[in-house]
Amino acid sequence: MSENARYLNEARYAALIEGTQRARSRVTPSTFPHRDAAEAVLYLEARLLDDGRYEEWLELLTGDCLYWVPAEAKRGDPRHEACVNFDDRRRLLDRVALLRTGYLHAQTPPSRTSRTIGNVETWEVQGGALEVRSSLTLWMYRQGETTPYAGAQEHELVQVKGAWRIRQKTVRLLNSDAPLGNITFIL
Amino acid sequence: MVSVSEVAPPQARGHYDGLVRADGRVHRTLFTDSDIFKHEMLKIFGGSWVFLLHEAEIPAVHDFKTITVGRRPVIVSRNEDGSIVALLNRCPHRGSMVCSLERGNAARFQCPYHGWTFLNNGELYGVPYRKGYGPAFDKRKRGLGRFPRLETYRGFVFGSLNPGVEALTEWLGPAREIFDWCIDQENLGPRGVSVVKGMTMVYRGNWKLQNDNNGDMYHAPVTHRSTAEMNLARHGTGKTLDHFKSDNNPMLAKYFGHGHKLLDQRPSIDSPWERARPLPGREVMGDAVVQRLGEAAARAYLDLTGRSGINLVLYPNLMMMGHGTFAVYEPLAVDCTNVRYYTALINDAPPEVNTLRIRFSEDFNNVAARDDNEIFERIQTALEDVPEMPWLDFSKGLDTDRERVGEDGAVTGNISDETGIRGSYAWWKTLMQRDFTPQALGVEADEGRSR
Ligand code: FES
Ligand SMILES: [Fe+2]
Repeated sequence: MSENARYLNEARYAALIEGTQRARSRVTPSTFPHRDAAEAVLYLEARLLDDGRYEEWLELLTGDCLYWVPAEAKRGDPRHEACVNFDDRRRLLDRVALLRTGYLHAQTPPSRTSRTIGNVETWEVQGGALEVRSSLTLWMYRQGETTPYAGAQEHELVQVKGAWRIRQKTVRLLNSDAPLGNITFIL
Repeated sequence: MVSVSEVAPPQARGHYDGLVRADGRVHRTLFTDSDIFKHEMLKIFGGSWVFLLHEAEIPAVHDFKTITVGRRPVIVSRNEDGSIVALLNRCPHRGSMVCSLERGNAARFQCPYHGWTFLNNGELYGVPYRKGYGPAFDKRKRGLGRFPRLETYRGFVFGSLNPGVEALTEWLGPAREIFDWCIDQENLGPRGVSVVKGMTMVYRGNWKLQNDNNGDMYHAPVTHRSTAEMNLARHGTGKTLDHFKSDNNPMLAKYFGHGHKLLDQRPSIDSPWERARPLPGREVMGDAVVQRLGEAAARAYLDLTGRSGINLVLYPNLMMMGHGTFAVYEPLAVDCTNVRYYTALINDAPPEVNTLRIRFSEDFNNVAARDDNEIFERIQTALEDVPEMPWLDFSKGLDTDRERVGEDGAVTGNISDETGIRGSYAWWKTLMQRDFTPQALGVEADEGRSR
């Protein structure tokens, strides 16, 4: 997929913030549109990441994707907040390239992860996109120690040439605003 | 009053001369011995100036933020008259921590145990069922302990529990000029800066490992090789770390005294904007600023979104990164440290510039700083577990013609020399052996041991 660096503009930031607020204010139950498709994408993503197949994971993401791990617990405007991660496709490709250099000491040896996705809810939103909310529980093993991570995920899925792809992924860690250890793997 | 030296660990007196040596060697126990760590919390974090916060973090009257100073829980609060005080967050009644919020706005604090209430200048305001206390009960001596010394230097708030600590400008010494330079960089408009919280990292290692590392350029091409290779492969030459390939260059390592040290990479960084890694939104936001302000004015702002090439460590706990980002080292235990990052936003700058400054502050932390933390943890483990090899070697630059002393007393070495780190350890020893009487205003002085 090509590298387009120009899609993260004011409008995209604004849409992201609006989507965040919308996702948060939902109080009615999901009617689960496209639930099977959404679950299939999320489970596949979890499997690819747990297996360290980052290149294939990148193929699941659109050319104009965003990967966002806020460092604040409550607010939600990355224009004014530093984040644990806030990556466009270019910075994600950097991240994967970094993991592949063989010299990333923080991933030598690499983290092993096992993640479980639950509480999957879906909503259809503007333009045929799918908003997916889920819970994430992740265990990370490295250097004799196992560290738990937990949080909520928000995915925006869109159809590209008939297949569902991830356009936006947000991971809200429970301890997002607390001192964090080594998270050089991808959540 | 009991002086801190009386409560110091028994082996401490005169002990440190043998642990920090003139030949650049430092003993592993400085990183592994929890008694030495406790002593550091008393003598360094209790006896020196310590960075508390930037005043823009508590801009309004009654704003407060809680922090730790050498493990002590502390409330830094802005009072009715706009002045700032630092209070020990420990109830004088029976010891509960009074305030448990990270930040907020409050004119008074109430202890959650029996309800003693304090003004945000630390004075005791109310005591439930007051009649139960006899005539000797002196309300004026039952406040929250207040730091006897507190000074704001151009927005940066420093405090000390040592009433006899040197004047802040004396403490800054020749480091003041470069500290001013860092602050001037942000002083583009009359409305100053706002400060946003960045990432906070925790590593299993001693706090001095991070302090050393921020005065160390020797490690950069090796520790951060992954970053350098990735940048080269993905974005070509001229990006982050590409300016340091050998130590035959005009960049400098410097020691200013009072523990302060500097890596000055500015001579090799032409334009921070050109040199910055491609951040998310860089092109769109850069173009928007150019369109609004014109090429020259825009460039002045955009150069503030990349690395200017300064690492200034003000001992013991503040690091200025020279692009509006600063880090605070927070020791938690002999083998555990938080590093808290903050970024100053320029109130009068175009919003895109501030967003890019935030994206930049994430960049190095995400990409490269993790490798540093990994190394700190490896050092900590090996130092703890290998008693047969007790020494760390900080001698690089010593006894060479690369180091010289300037008129201001600062020592300059080659960028890859351990000049600054060695200086910090000499100062560490001075602080650890300096006698002083700690004090907290508003509390009963000397009734028993101050430990
Ligand atoms: S401990 Fe604070 S009021 Fe008793
Ligand atoms: Fe480093």
